[in-house]
Amino acid sequence: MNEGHIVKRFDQELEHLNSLILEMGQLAISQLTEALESLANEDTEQAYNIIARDSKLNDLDSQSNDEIIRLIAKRQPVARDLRELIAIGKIVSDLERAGDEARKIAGLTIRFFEPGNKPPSDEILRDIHQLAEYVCKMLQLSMNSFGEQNMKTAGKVVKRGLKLDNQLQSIIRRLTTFIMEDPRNIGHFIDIVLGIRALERFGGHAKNIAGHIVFIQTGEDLRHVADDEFLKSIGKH
Amino acid sequence: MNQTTIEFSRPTERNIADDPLNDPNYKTVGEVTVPNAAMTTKNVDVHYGDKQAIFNVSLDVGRNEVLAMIGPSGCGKSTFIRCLNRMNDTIDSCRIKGDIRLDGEDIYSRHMDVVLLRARVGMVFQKPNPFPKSVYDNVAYGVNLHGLSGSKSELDDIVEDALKRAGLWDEVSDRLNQPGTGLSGGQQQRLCIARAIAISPEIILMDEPCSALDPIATAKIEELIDELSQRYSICIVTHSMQQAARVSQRTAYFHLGKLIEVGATDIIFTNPSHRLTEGYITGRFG
Repeated sequence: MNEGHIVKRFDQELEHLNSLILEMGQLAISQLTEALESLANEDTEQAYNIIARDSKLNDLDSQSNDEIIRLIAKRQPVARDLRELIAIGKIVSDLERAGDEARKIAGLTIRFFEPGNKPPSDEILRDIHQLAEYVCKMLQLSMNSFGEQNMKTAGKVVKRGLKLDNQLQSIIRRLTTFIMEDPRNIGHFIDIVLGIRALERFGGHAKNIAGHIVFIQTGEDLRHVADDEFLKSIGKH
Repeated sequence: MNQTTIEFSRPTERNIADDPLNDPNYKTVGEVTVPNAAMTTKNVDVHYGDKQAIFNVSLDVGRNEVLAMIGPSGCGKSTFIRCLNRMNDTIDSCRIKGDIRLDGEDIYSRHMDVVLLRARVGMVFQKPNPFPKSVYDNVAYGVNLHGLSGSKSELDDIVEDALKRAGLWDEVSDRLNQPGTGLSGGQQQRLCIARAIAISPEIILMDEPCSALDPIATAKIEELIDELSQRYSICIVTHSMQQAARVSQRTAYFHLGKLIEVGATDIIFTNPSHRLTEGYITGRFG
């Protein structure tokens, strides 16, 4: 017995919806990757392009929501199908917000490197690059987990999330010593901290998505449980 | 500027079912018993001649609950429900084994009065089947048969009460003497329900009661089921998954004569345990 629906059109519609989600995931990741590039290359033009392209994510968000509402009305899904549509609605929101966080990093490029502005030192920017690569990988794993519907991959995202917390603490400690050494750069530090906060949220959205995948698979709502409990629940299945 | 392209992994093809049904000792998923059941069934087998239609089904009917039975055509859900008031007795080739009790009393005992049993366990069928009599007489028939009224005025009260509880009184109170067959399909079905409840049953069996009705008439029956469940236990066989989800508190899923899974309707329709249940309710096979 194959897993597909008797009504093949329903499978095609779900597949179309899934492809919209994967497209959103690709876009959110490439937005952050390119925001980092713009920061490294001091390329404000690229940063403006990234900010303009965020509307594409908003469009995909609206398009996906319309599709979900249409499918619920038309197919009256139950069980896993229902969980999948509800979870996809949440994944869409997470991806759209992840895109917003990437846009904030592009905003840093403009703030630091627009002619007339004083750029920060490479030393201060180092943390942003490291952290961005780390959270990019988290979202990449989340989207793999969604594509494969694989809970183990979702677990990897949560494990990375645990390390993310430690990284953030050490970054804040390091930045604090910089501030104490040279308080004249306080403006840059505030921008960097806001950038780090944006990246932390980006990783948070990746982790939320991992939770939604588990909900699709098992019906368990793990959004509000501690990470170790999350991992324990995945281990049970 | 070219946008970065990122590829994600995609799912591999999976199958949802081996065939657990070949297992002669298959055990139903979920709790088949309920506390203080109105009716209990244990290890019920049903054969039509050489062909076995029901395999070792045990399932209780709770008091004041709506129990929905779903499953593909030929899965045995109608056969099972017809065992509960011995409607299968009319089929010569039908043999029933197992234990079925109403309030602890074996309904297949030699001492059981089948006419009385069917008054206690009423039935509503797929197609409305009013008698070719007036609206009034349709409802009064069973009451008279069982001698449940002492006078004409008492009978009038019982008929009016049954028609009111069936949600039909306002529509027929001015034409009680007209033929029941002259009512619309939905009204005829509610008349049949009034006929069943006039003799104060404990359980009402409904075998696809809305399959011949339009959506509005269906909604009225569903509203009625909700109200009736305050006083009676209701077992409903339905092909409409949405209807089962809307009206019942518990759902039982049958497949090829076996009771695969039973559980709270809220759980069955959001997170069923057995993959056959999941496959059926999500429309992956039928």
